[in-house]
Amino acid sequence: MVVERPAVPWSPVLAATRAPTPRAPGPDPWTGDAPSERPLDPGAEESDTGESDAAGSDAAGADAADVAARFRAGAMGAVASAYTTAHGHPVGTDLDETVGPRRWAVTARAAGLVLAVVLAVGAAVVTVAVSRGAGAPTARVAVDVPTPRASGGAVRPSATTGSTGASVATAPSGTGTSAGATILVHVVGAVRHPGLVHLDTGARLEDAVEAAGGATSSAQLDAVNLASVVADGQQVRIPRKGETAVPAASSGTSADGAATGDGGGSSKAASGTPVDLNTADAAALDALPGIGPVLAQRIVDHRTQNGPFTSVDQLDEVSGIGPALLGRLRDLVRV
Amino acid sequence: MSAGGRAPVDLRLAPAALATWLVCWWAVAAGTHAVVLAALVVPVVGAVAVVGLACVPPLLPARRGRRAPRVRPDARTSAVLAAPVALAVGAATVALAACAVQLVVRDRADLGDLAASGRVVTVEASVRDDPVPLRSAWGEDVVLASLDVTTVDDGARAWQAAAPVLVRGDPSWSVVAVGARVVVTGRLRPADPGEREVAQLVPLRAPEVQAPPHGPVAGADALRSALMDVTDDLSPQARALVPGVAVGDVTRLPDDLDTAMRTVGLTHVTAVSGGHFAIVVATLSGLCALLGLGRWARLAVLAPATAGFVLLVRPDPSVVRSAGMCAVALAGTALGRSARAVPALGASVLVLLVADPWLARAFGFVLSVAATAGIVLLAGPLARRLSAWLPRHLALVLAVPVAAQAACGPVLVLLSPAVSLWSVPANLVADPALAPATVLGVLATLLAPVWPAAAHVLAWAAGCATWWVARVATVAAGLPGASVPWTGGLLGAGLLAVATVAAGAALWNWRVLADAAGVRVPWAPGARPSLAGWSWVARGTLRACLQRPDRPAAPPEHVPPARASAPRSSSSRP
Repeated sequence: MVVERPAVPWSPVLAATRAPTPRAPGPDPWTGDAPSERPLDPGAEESDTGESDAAGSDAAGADAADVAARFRAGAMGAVASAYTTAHGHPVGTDLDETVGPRRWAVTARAAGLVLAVVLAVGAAVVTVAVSRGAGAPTARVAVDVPTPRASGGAVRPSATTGSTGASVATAPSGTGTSAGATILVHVVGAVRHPGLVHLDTGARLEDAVEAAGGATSSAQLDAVNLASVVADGQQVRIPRKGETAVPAASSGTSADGAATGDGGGSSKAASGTPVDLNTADAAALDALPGIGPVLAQRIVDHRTQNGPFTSVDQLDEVSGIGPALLGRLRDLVRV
Repeated sequence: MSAGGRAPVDLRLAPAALATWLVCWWAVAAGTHAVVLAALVVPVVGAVAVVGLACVPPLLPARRGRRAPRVRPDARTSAVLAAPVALAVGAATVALAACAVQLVVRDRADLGDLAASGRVVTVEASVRDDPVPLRSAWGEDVVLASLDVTTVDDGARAWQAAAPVLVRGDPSWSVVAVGARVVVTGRLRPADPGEREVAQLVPLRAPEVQAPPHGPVAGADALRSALMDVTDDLSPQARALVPGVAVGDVTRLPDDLDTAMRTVGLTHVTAVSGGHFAIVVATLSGLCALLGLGRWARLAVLAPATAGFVLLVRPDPSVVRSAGMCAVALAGTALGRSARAVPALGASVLVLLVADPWLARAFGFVLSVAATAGIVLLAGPLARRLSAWLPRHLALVLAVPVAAQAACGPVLVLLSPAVSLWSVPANLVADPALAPATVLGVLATLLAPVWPAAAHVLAWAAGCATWWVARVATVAAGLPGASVPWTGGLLGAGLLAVATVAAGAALWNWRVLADAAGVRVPWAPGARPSLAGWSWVARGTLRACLQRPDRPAAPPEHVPPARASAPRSSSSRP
């Protein structure tokens, strides 16, 4: 912004007017030099006479000029100076005010004062940020998550609403990132040692049966889908021969139908029974409207990679499923 | 708050403000580790530099002597440079440190990692800003809403957080109120680097509002909605523009008027900007002065009114900038000192950037500061130069939009790659309506809840003022040259800046250019041209156009010979 240069034709005059400009004592970083706020009191400070230049230049003692100066310094002056300060718009001010010499030099005292203010602001910002973020510990706050052992035998996904509480309870360790995370599955029915078994994440029903001592000779293994992925907190029932094979026999609903018992039956959308996203295999998912083999496989892959779904909404994470399709599927699936 | 005649233009805070801005610009888009490292390295390097400057004898005494003529060149010249450098380094360091802390707090929210893998989360948040409706590239209606997240639940875990996210929702989001607490489920997407928000959230459902806004924000909302009710049955432009100038609500702005105002650079009218703020504060100051209030009484009126107005119109970047300058002015009043626009601008930029480094990349803030700096620093010299041709008041009135446009033009090109030839004339013609529209609109807003009938009358009167603005915008946007294509991006901005500087240089050295072109200019700068002089110019120009352009014409007798009369005779004082 250095626009006043010696090359400008009238620079001698500029230089002449520049030279006597007083530097007021006690420079203040906020306000410049003028130490007096009252425009009506020109006082000893030459730099304070700008507002009443009409009085100062032409007829210093004249009443008319005095009245004019008072008027300018009154309401209109207040309006103009407030507008100028807030917006930089030099309303009604003398043009020459804005073309004075540039002043860059900072005294150590002014610099220290400004730094102190900046430091105070910075400290306040840091304090606020830290206090707001104080509840964000690196170790996350788990909400009402029972320990896996406690929930293992008790969880029965009978509440199909997929509410937060249920979803959190079913998968406390399921989304763990380490590959060695274990899940807890309750295997009952035609196995040698029915009960709780620990399995690796992503284990299949066959692994669960093996872990439970293997199927008994009376087990009807073709009634269940041994290849299906078992989820943490799930109960799996292996039917005996002659037992009503209603759940699994229909269309490969796998352990899902077996586990819920009453909720068995076809996973076809037509049946009205929601499909469990965590236990249904690709074929069952394929049967859903709007989901083809590719999407069904992606859902299974997502489950394998990220652990079980904890809410129906997480279906949105699967590439190819958007909010619209999710809206259509919402009533047909559960977790 | 007078400004002294021939007082120095106080640029002492400018280097520190610029340094802080550069640092913040870089830091908000850089990684957290880099910022933390910089916050440790910069003060060390800076301290070495400052100590070096303070100890090493001055290398360029002549140059510094010219810049700071009143400091004795023999003593403490190095300190002259050391103190500004120390100030700039110190301010930059504080800004870096504050930014680093905020980045660390945001990182601990873990939203960035979840966004990178596109997870679905449920967040509890408070609405930070008014939802902005816009149309996406493929014609889909989208609403952008900024939320301050307080808890995150990814299905398996839940944790507390403090980080902003940007919701990209459907039109059901346009009704959420600022300050309301909402629960949202949606899929996270990465945000653009440098954005204030750590992630974008594409909601799966309409927002669940847990708690409506409360406290002062609710009061401001009540005022805003009352104004919307009062202005509902006005003419189309008034029902859109009166809420726009009064409280910055542009939801009713018709698309064609919006486009017209954008085209001719009148957008600062439709949204509440620093100018509105200044009008309100200036009006209040005038009232205080009329009532003869003392310093502290004035402070007691102005400080709450300023804060309330910020709440009412929402703390947008330009409003924050203006409020910052106002706060400096008020602090000056409290200390019994005058406040000037240049140091006030520097101080508010410095403090605001330390408080909120993301402002450094906010277009509203950049534009607001550029326009203010342009007006503060350029309008005066420009008006003085223009007063060689024009009456002083006209010169000042013309200089302000020219200065603002010169400073804002390159930034505006970044937003839309076009230049309007009618921007300055349109602003010049439309601006007189802005002050009455704002004052009447704000009065209508304040009256709307308690006395709707009177508010309606005031809003109608404000609508008359906005009619003028709308008319100017529509007419100017229809003129040829309203939108001249220009290269976009940084290249276009750079080109326009160069063109602006070149035009300014031409204006400054017009006499040299005129001499070179063989045109004799009849009057000296500062000597007001008379009507006769103008007619002589007109005749001369006509003659030159009709005959040979380079043939010099003889100056008439009544015009003072160039440079012989006292320069600036009309403005110089004893």
